[in-house]
Amino acid sequence: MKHLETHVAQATARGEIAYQHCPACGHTQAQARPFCLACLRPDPDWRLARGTGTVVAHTMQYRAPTDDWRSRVPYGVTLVDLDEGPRVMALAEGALNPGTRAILCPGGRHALPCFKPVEDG
Amino acid sequence: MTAAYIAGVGLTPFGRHDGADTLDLMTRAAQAALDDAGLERAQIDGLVTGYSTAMPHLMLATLFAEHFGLRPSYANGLQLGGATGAAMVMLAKLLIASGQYSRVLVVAGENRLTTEGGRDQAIRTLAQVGHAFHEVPFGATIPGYYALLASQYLGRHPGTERDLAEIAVFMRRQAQAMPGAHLTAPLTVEDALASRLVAAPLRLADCCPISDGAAALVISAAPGPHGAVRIAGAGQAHRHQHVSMATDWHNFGAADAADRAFAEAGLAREDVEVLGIYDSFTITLAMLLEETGFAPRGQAGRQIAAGAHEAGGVPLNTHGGLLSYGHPGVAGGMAHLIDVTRQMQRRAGPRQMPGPGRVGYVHADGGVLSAHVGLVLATEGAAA
Repeated sequence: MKHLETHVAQATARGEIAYQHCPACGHTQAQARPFCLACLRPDPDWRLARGTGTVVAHTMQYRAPTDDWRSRVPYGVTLVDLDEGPRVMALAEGALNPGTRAILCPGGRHALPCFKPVEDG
Repeated sequence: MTAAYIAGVGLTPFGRHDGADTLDLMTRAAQAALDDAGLERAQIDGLVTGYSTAMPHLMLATLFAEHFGLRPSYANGLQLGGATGAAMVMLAKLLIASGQYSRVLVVAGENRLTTEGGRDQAIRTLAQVGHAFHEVPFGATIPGYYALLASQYLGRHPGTERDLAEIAVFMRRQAQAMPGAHLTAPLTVEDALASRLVAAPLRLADCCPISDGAAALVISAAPGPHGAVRIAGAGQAHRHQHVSMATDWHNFGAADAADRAFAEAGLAREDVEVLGIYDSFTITLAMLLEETGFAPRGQAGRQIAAGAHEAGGVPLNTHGGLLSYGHPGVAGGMAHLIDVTRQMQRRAGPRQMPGPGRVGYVHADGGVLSAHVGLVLATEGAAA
């Protein structure tokens, strides 16, 4: 699992989202594993999310778990269904009510992927 | 299969217990449960404990047995987050059903509030139920994970913020009548809606407190001295650990666990006359009541505000729940079961429910609606 975690962390640090895709059955999964959860084939491929999706849920955190986060309060956290399929957690900027179309902020925030609302038009 | 009864219960006040550690608090509840059952230590042949965030230990059951002075022929320390207490009772029921054990002590407690580090330490520890590198790095907390559920619920059922506040108010009112409750200050819907944001849309009044306290039950092949309450059915469901992996937000597993418990009991939802439903947050209670089939979707708070669980209705969390009786971890979820038992045995004193209380249903969840345990209780007067 360690090399999978490293792959995810490297994408995350750039503000991007790496997910897995199974070449055998086409299943996609956000939570990295050494196998496809749908067909159990080993070693799914890696893909990089285009960075667009639909908001499932959103919270604004006013109570932080660590000192690092305490200085950033309040900050948004969201669950987004990527257009490619997987559901991911990420930081959030702006009004991301459920159902809102969202897009990744280039470069991320705090070395983490961060969604913002897709601009009108 | 041997029937399993709740033969004795013990519950400490929840709140601050300055100077008491995990073993002290577990001892108080365990002694109270033994006294209630009219049993001595030597008569206990099985021991089931949970875990303590204030005293992490690889062998809490054996540690407690040594401390308390038990020599059980079976011991187990179980971990399923908030579902642990109900799962411990289910395990005790299975041990009794096996015919190999006669009296199982189920006990949990900790000084989660007054332990070194207190609330901050607890918030950091509890956040670890999130995924280590897909969730925790984003700074979400347990209230944050449940706030995600709440945002979706409020989006799907517009105008229900006030209904969630009604849940907090109802739990507070019940706690005011319950000796030993952690939070008893008067709370109105307006107070709840004006309380500070913790993880929007959840406010302080939507969140249970972090408490010290302990709870214990003796599960036995024979009824205790206070009236026979049998564990007629028990069911579990585990469909995900992490909220980002829960893709069916109409079925987190609560309904599955309840279905399994009612099927074993040979009873139906309609038979239930008293409820104890996990309420770590107002949204938790709303979603569990709805998914287990005791409120229509989007209506839990409205149903509570309309008095469905007051005089003449089906009592719910008569002790004030986690939201106001308090939440010291594993023991928090056991308090619901203990008060439902007392109501069914008609010994809740001035708080005694008016109805007969022949069938009770208790439900707990751990993680983020991740682990579910449902327990169906029945008195001798129950239909099945």
